[in-house]
Amino acid sequence: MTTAADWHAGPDLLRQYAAGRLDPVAQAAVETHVERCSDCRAHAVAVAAPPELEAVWDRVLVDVRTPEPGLTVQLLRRLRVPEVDIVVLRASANLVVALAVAVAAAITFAIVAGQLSVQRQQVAWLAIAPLLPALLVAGAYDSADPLRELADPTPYNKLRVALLRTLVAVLGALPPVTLMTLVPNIGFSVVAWLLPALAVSSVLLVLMVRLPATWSVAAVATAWLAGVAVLRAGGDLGAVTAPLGQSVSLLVAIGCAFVLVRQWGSWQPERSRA
Amino acid sequence: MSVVATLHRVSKRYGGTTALRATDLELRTGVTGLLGPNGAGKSTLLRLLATSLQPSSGTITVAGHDITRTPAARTAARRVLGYLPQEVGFPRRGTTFSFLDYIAVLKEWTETAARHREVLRVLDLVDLGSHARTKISALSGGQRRRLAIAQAFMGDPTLVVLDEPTTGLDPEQRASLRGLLSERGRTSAVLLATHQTEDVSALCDRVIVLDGGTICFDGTVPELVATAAGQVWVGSSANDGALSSWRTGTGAVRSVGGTPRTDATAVEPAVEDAYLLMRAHPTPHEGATP
Amino acid sequence: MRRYDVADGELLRQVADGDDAALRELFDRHAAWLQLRLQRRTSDPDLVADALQDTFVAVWKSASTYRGEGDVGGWIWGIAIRRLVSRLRVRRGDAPLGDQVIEHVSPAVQSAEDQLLVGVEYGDLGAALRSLSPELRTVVQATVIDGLTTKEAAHLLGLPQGTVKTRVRAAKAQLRGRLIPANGGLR
Repeated sequence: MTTAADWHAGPDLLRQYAAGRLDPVAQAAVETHVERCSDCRAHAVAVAAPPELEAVWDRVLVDVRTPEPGLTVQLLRRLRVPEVDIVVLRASANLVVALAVAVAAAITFAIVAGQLSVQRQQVAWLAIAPLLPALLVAGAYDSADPLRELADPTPYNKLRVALLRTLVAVLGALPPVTLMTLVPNIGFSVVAWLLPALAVSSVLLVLMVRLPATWSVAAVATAWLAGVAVLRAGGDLGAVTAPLGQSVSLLVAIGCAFVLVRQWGSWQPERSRA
Repeated sequence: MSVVATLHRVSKRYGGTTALRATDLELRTGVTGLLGPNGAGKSTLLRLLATSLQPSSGTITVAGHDITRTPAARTAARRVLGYLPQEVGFPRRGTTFSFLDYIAVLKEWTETAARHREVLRVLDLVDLGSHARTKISALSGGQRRRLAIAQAFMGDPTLVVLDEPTTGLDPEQRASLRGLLSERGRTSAVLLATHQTEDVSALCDRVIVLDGGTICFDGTVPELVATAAGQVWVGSSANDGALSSWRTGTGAVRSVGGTPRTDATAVEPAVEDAYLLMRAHPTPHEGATP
Repeated sequence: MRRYDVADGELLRQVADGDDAALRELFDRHAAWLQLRLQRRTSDPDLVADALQDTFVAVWKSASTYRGEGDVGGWIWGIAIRRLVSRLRVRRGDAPLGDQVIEHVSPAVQSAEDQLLVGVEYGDLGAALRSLSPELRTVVQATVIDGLTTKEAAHLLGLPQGTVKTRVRAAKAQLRGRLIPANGGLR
C-alpha cells in the first residue's frame, strides 16, 4: 500500500492532467501535490511546451532589465507624448551642462530682448525674434553636448530634436524670467520674447505631425512674417510686446499644447527600422 | 567579398594643414586595420567615413550612397553605419539603458518594444547585460568603453568604424572584443584604427598604414610582415644603428634594423617591427599622391 | 548555468538582491507546472502566457516580501493565480470561467490509480468532494485549493461575489454533512 509520503505524480499522470482528462478531485490532488514537490515539478517540465516558455522568459527578461520610468516620464506618457520624444527629452535633460547653458542662453536672450525692444521696434528684429531662442538653444547644445560626435552621424530628424530641446530650455527659463518681471526696471517685456518662441516651436511640432519638416517650416515662417507685415502696415509694431500681443502668443502656445497633446499620440515617424 | 565603401581622390584640409592627402580606398567585408602615428590622419579618415566630416575634395560612397553629394544620401548611409569615436563623452546622468535607448532613437528605432529588445541585445553582446540599470557614473572605464562599443553595434550596421576601441581594456576584454569584431567582419566591413599591432596581427585580414595623410601600405598582414624580412635580429647585443632594440625576457637582445653583429641570427618579424621600419623609411603606396 | 544545488528560498533571496540569473533558475523550475495549472483555469493560451509573464515580473519585484513561511511553490502559485485574476478583470465580456473549467474536465472512469490518488491525498474528503455539484466544486477549488478570497474567486469565475459566498457556504454544509459521522468535523 503506497503511503502519502512516497506517492508522486509521474509523467503519465501529468500528461493526463495537462490534457484535462482527470476528474476534478484527482486534478485537485495532483495540483496540491505538485505545488509542494520539486521532483514532480521537474517532471512537469517534460510535459509543458519549451518554446512557448522561452518566449515568455524573453519578455520577462526585457521587463526585468528595462529600468522603471521616473515620475516625469510617467507624466509625459499620460499626456500621450510619443515614447520617442520622451527619450529625446530625457536625454536632453540628462546632458546637464548643455541644458544649463541652453537655459542660461534663453534667459539672457529674454533680458536683452526686453531691453532692446524698449528702444526700437524694428521689423527685422520682430521678424527673427521667435527664431533666436531656438538658435541659441541649438548652439548651446552643439557646444556643450558630450554626445555630439555620436549623435551627428545618425539618421534621426535633427530639427525635431532641436525643437524639443528649445521647448525644454524655454520652459526651463520661464520660471526665473517670470520672477524677474518683479524687478522694477525690467518689467513684463522680459517674458514677452520667450512666448513667441514657445508658440512657434509648438506650432512647428504640431505641424510636423502631419506635414514634412520643410513644409512645416515654410508654413510657419510665412505665417509669422505675414503677421509682422500686417502689424507694420497698421503702424503698430509695439503690439507684439503689448499685453494684447502677449495674450495672443500665450493663447497660441496653450492652444498648440492642447492640440499637441491630442495629436502627439497618433504621430507616426517617417521611417522606422523596426 | 563585396565593396562596402569607397573613397575617390578624397582629401581634407583644416585651414593650412592637410590632414589627408588625395586618397583612393576601397573597403570590403572583413576586418581592416588602420595603423599610423598620432596626426597621421586616422581619425580624419574615420570621421569622413562616418559622415561626421565633409571632405575638401573627392567623393565618398557608403553602401551605394554618395555621402558627399546630398543630405538625403548621408541620412541613408547613416542608417547602416556604426561609429565609435576615440573619446565618447557620456552624459552626467542616466543609466546604461537610458544612454543606449537615446542612441537607438537617434538611429530610428521608433517602436518601443523592438528598441528595448535591441538595447538589451547589444548590452548582452558586450557583457553588460546585468548592468542595464547601473548609472553611467558608476561604471568603470572598461565598462564605459564596452558601452560605447555596444552603441556602434546597434542595428547590425554594414560599415563599422572604430577609433582605437581596445584602449583601456584588459586582456580578457580585448580578447572578447576581438571575437565580436571578427564575428561582425563576416558580414560587414569593419575598419579599426589602432595603435596595438597585436590587434592587427590577431584580427585583420587587411592592414593600411597611414602616415602624414598618405597611405604607405595597403595589403594583407603577411605582406606587411614580409617588408621587414631579414631586418629583425636576435643576438647578445644590439645591432649597429638599430632602429630600436631591447633586451628580451630570455636575456638576448632583439634589434630592428641596422647592421647585425656576427653572433646575431635573423628572426621572423612581427607586425610591430614592420610598422616601425615603415615609419622610419616611408615609401608612398601606389595610388596615393603626395 | 543551472544552479541545481541552490534551494528555492535562497534563490528568492538572490532575486531580491537583483540577480536575474537566479530568476531564470526559478523560471526553469516553476514555469512549466505553473503553465499547466493555469491552463486548467482558462482556455485562452495567450492569457496563460501573459499571466505567466506577469507572475515572474511580480516575483522579481516582490521577492523580498517572501518571509520564508511555507513552500516557495505555494507562494508563487498565490502570485500566479492573482495575476490571472487581474488579467481577467481587465478583459471584459468574458464567458464565466466556471463553465469553461467544467467543460474541460470531463468526468473520466475512475481508474485504479485515481482511486489510489484520491485515497492518498484526500481520504474520505475526496469522496465527499466528488459528491458536490460542479458549481460548488469549482468554488471550493478556487477558495480552498487556490487560496483565493471570495472577491478574487468571484473575478476568476465571473460570478457575483454574493453567489460565491452562498456556494461556499452550501459546499461546506454538504461536506460537513458527509463527513461528520466519520471525522470530528470540518472547520
